[in-house]
Amino acid sequence: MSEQPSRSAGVAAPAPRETVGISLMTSADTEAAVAMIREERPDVRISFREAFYKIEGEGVIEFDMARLSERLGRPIDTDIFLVNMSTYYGRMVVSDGVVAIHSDIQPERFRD
Amino acid sequence: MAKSLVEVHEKSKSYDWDFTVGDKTPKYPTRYIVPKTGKDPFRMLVRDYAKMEAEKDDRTYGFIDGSIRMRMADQIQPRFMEALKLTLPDLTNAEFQAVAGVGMIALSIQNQELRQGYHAQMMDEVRHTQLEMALRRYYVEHWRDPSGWDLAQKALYQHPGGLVSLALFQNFNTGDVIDSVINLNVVVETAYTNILLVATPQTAIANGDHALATTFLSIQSDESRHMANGYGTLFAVLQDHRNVDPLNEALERHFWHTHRGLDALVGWQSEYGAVVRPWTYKDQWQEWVADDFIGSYIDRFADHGVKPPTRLGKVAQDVPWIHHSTALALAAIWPLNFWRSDAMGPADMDWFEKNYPGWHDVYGGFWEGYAALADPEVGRLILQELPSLPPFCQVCQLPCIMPRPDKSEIRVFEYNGSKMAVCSEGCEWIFNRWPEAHAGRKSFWARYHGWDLADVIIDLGYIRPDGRTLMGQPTVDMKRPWTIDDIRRIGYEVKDPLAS
Repeated sequence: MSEQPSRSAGVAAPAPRETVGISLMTSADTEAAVAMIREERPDVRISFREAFYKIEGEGVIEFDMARLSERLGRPIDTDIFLVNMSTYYGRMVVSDGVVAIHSDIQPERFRD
Repeated sequence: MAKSLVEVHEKSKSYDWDFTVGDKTPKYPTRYIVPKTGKDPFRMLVRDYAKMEAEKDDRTYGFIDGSIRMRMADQIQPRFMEALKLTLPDLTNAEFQAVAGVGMIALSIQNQELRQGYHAQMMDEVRHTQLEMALRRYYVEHWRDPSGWDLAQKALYQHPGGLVSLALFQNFNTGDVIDSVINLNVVVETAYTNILLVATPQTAIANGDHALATTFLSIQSDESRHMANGYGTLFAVLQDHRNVDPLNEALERHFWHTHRGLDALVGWQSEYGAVVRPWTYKDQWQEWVADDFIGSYIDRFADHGVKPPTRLGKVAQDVPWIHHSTALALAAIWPLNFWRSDAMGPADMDWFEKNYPGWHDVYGGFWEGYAALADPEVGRLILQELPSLPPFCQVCQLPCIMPRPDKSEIRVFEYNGSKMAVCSEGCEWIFNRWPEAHAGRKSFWARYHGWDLADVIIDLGYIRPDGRTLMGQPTVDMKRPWTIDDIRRIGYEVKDPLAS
């Protein structure tokens, strides 16, 4: 569970949480992704729950496929990365070779 | 080098054009003003979709094959597998209803980028029914007691637990299509599928069912895109301030109804269908629904006018209790179940009291009585100990003993000359908002009013192939199982509590 304060039900939120999260089902791809994010982002919280890992952090969490491929020892693209993703919260952005989750709810692309 | 996803996705949108012939009016009207602009955060293209789903299927079906080779079904806790005979068909019903719902949405949203996301979702929902049927085939052929799995979908639609599922998931394709998006994509898929399809696999593994865990996690990987469809649609409609009030009303309605149906059934499966419980349901609800969904999603839309449901506090109060009350009700009607309803023993009762202080005072006596009457030689049913059968809620179809039997919030009223009941203020508000959508469903008790219980069981078809032994049993390890003759000897008559 997030180390951010829990959202009290039934009362107005003082401010929206900045926390975002992603759950990756346990697999070889996921173990490489977890090792990578642990190294790149020591501030994120990773909880292992047998069937999956839940990774949570503040602001943004990003997975670069080129770096993940190198660590995995074979190519992996965003499509195959997403095969391992069971769920997320925050704003998802899939772009060239990168899967990112942002806490900012409205990006530039959505303003046009 | 592979072409840029961003560029290809942008180019594909340039192939959109307006109709020059035929009726441009959306097939299913909506009270919302839906702008033409809207974005799919996943930038989903058909070629990428097909590649991704083929890989998912290879991995999931490959795991089921491996489970067969390794005889992994033998490791499953009987209690977990028996409860799943209700909840897995419940989920398949949700998929069926979603296929219809997403078809309506795709036909009505005049925005090509969002529509493409919904087309992919429709194929996903079909994929999910196929995966769930494959899982059921695995259980029928490899689980030691296939009885109930062999007719589970038919059985579900006859059973009171199935009516909870029908009442809830028909909202996916009933009424305004944008309301359906708020229900399906925002409330059910963004908030609630996480407990069912991500957290419950952890319980499945703890109770020996690895195939279920793998299948559910793969299903949820599609749900992630469905969440994004909801997000894209939410953002599109929020561009027009006239949509804010109806959107908040839809959120209010569907959040309450989803809480009733899914907190009751998923909580029941994960705690009363488990021998090993890695977590408490109330903690999972706090994490996935209150923190992640409300705190990191709905609250972030506050600047656009979106408000958390006003009944959120009441939901939080009821979440620790309603699955215990559901468990009591499902156990009380065990002869009407198409699965074996296991008794809770001393270790279970200790766990419940430790994690839900006060549990024993409300439910402990029932479970002690339940165990005492499990042997057919005693010749008495726990149903006979109840002062009367509880009415079913006309909206959510749960028995009106919620949130707890000692604190029931039942409301009985007349509508068009018929006596009806709802379980709570929230369901009463939903009923009054649109009575025609809820008044027509006939209560299970009304259907069988005046029948002998044995005849009800025969009518439902919940008898094993020997023609005598019941599918439902009061424990998973009966030395001498109950038969239809045992029930006939008792002579219990079903009485509709709302009959005049």
